[in-house]
Amino acid sequence: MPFVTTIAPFLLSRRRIPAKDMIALDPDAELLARIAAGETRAIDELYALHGPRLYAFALRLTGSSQAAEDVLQECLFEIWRSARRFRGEGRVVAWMLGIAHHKAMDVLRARKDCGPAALDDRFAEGPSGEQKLILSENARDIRRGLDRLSLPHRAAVELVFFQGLSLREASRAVGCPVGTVKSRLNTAKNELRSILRSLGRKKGDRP
Amino acid sequence: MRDHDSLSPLLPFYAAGTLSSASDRERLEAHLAACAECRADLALWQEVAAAAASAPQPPPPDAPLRKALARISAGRTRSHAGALRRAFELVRSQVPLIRREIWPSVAAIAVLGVGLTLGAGRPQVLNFLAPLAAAVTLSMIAGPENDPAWELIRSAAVSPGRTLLARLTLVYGFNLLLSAAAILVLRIAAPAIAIPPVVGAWLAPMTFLSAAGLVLSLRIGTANAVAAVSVAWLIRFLPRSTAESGPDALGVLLDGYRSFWASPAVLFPLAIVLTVAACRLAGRLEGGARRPLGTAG
Repeated sequence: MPFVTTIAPFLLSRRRIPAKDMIALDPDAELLARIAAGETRAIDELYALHGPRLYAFALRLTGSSQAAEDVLQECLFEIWRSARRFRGEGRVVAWMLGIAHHKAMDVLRARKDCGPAALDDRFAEGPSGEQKLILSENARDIRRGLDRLSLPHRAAVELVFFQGLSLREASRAVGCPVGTVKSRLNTAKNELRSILRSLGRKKGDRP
Repeated sequence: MRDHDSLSPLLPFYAAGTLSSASDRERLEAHLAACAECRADLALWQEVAAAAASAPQPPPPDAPLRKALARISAGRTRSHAGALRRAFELVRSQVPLIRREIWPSVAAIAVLGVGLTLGAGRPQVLNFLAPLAAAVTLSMIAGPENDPAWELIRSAAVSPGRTLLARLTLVYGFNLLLSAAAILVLRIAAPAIAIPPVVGAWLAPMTFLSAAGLVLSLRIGTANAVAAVSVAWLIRFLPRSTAESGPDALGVLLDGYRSFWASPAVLFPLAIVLTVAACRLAGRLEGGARRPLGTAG
């Protein structure tokens, strides 16, 4: 049965896919096949399973809980709409993160149009509930530093470290060549280093 | 230096634990022992990895799910034709999987039929060609040996019967459209030619012959099915016996055979029965031992 459901999305795709690629042993593929078949309950299950990571991803990418909710809603709807177009190239989770990334860019672009202030939400919000959790000083600095990276660089770090995507998966998720992902990570590293340096200086300034 | 340029971009993935290539890992580790810059970078990336590992995942709010589901159900009720759309999607998804030669060959036959009919001034040519072409093309949409997509269908989640039905709809619809166009052309171009009743003369035989071709191609292969339906159809056009001394046994048989082809009331129900049989047959063959010829191994 899982074998059959794994294959469902491929039948409806226009490209033919070699049989060996069809048998992707991804438990999420079955869920996605049910969504493709029009079962709304499968969306609930998907949200229970992957909602937390998608929400965390959207939250860190957009920096505002309102924007993150918008991203999530768009993302779920898009998953519903295009579940049958999933071609089984790689993991379902990477595919969903690609959608979430795309929707986050849309939402941020729309907010930017509303005025520059909207973009700064995540700095204005201050430490949110999650951030109040006790973290090691180091980790908190790193995460604060990451928050200040420019969007594409933050997204690359987010996908690779927080979501555990491989180079290929990350490149597919952001829709860029692998070389671009590599260079974004390199830039992110340099930016992060200088942000951390300035944070350290500020910290030292404080009484 | 070349090593550094090719290996340092792998550091983030090494730190995140997603570098799957063992040889990359080994080369990177060897390089790390010799490169202070990469060691410093790795230290930073490892801090990022640690920060990621300790990052909390707050429970997501319900609102996005609720809103998305509301949009989904709104979309569903707005388009009452949800099932219709899915059916259409299925039919459309079959287009690229059907042998491409089918479309131009049927079109060519229709053009030929119209041309010959106009040339000869008699509609018999079209009456002869249209059902035969339809049956031959339908024999080609199924069956292992002629169908490159057979393998794919056999392992697909949508039942083979439904897939077959989708293809049948496509090809039969195409044939129907072409035949209708041919008749229209004839009506306009040569109103003088008396066209026999549409349903009785070719729609019914065409439907029955198509269904028969489909079933046969599943049972005995496409080539045999094409031959069988051609012969079955040709017999109908055998000249009537010229003997004046009353009908002989063969003549009676042939007359009966002709009247069978001229009875829509028999042909249509039979066609439906055969189509259902074909869909069930395709379902049974799904997991069966039949391997497509030419793709064995």
